[in-house]
Amino acid sequence: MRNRQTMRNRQAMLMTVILLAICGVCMNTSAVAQSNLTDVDQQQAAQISALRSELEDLKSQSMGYDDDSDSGFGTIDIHGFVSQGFMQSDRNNYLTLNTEKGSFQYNDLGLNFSTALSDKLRLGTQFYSRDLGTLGNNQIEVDWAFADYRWKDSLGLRFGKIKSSQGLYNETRDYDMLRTFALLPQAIYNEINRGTEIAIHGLGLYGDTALGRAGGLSYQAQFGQRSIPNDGGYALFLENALGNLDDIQFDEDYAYASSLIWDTPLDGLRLGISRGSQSFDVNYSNRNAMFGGFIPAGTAMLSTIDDMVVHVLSAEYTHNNLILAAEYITSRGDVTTGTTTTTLSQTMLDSDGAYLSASYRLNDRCEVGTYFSSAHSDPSDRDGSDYEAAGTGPSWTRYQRDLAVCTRVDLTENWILKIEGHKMRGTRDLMAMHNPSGANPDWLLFIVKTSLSF
Amino acid sequence: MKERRVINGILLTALLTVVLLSAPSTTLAADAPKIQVALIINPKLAVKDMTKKDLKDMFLGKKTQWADKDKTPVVFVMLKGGDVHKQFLKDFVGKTEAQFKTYWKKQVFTGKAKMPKDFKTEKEMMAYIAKTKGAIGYADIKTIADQTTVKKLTVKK
Repeated sequence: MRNRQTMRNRQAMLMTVILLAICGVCMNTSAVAQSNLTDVDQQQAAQISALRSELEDLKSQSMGYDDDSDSGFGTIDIHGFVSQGFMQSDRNNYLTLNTEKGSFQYNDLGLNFSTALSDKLRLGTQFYSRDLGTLGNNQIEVDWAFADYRWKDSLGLRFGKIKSSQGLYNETRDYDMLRTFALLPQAIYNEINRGTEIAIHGLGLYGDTALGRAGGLSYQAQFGQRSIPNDGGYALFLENALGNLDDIQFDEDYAYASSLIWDTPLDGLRLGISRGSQSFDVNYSNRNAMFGGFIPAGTAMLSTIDDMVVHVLSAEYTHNNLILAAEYITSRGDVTTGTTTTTLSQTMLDSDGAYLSASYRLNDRCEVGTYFSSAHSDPSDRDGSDYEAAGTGPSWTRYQRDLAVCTRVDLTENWILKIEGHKMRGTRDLMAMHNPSGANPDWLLFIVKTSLSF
Repeated sequence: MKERRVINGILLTALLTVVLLSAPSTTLAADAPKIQVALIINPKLAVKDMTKKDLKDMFLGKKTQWADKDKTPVVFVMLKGGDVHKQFLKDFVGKTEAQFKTYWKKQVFTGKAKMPKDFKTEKEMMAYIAKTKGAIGYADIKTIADQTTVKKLTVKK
């Protein structure tokens, strides 16, 4: 025991010395370069600088911009990104990955094309592929594809496949290079549900309006249908709840999503509220007998989720290099389950979750952040004590708390690296099918992720 | 064994954080002389002043038309980097350079906009503004002192 502790301490000291040495070399390199210039070098540098300035003047004069030229209308902009991560946990398999062994099945990439046909009309599409354990498997899909007509600042129209506005970060949840954390707080942005929550096929209205001294408002409202893959996250949750199922087929009804963001008069503070709803049916057959044997194996089953409503309250405060954010989510819906002819159960899904995060940019190369996130299966029993007292199961299966610490390093303008640690308590979001030996309430998760973008 | 690897990984994160906390910031130095940034527009625009809020909304893509009788489309341009750019963002947009880049990358990767046009030097920017309808940019006030090709815009609080 003492030898293990000694080895750990030596490892920690060695890592500290190596990292300090690397940082010391980086900080001293530019200072050494400057001090080595001789007088002759400095004169030559001054002459080159003067010539360069003259050349810039000539270039500016010869540019010959027309009043309406260089609009860029009709030119196609291409951007893309690729991310690869590694996840390792000390106990429990998470997010469909075999994290107990360590898994590289954690990557995504996207490529988008867009063009402005006029100052009011844009077209664009993005192709996307991801692998998250058993989800995605790098199949290429259309991530978004829409036409965008901005009639005026307060009213624009989008139609096609539109990123869904929910909370502060749903629209940008796939873009690792646009945030501090490798893994967003799962209480609000569960990665298993991403395939359905990310977009709506239909119409969207949006706009921005100034409120004078009261700041400004930005709104989005989207109506249409969500895509629910038959082998995606919702199917996984269904199987996790009901056991092994076959022939899962989702039939999506309407869906809407809306958000209102208020840029308050306090510089840097914005507040938001989002509301979304969807309904759908799911047909499946059970591989094993259900309801105490009353329903034999192979029976055609139907579950109806009626009007599942999600609310998210959001707050974000930015002050110089510091960003604080907090969000709270509630999700409620009625679930009816039975055969195609008989209703067997009616339940209400009711859950909530929240997080508080802070991130700080130390310098042009480095950003650090931390968050505490908590997700609960029952808002009236957030610590699961009533659940345990009723003899249904352990309390820690009814929540999942996550304390995360992350360091992001901008290796270049387009290439980043993140190292992140999570201390978890609770197993609410774990899948029994991926943890057949049972789950442990206290566990650690380590993530390394790198991303390139252009 | 697994627990040791995960703990070592988390320890590495914490150590990296502590080390990088000691690295100096390369954003605007507190003791550097403050740059006075002026807003400049195309001389044909019939606009003399605007509020700071409207200006911020322009550079965040939320205000796309000038309040002139033609409702001229806004064409805002940036510098690629440098102290004038950083001072402008701090004084008028309320974002750091990294936050501003992230904001516009979010617009690009969600298909809502394209990256703003940017220039290496103030001279290049001013030449573009001088000849482009609806254009607005910024420069060090000393740079535009004797300029007649662009019009200075007053920013009200």
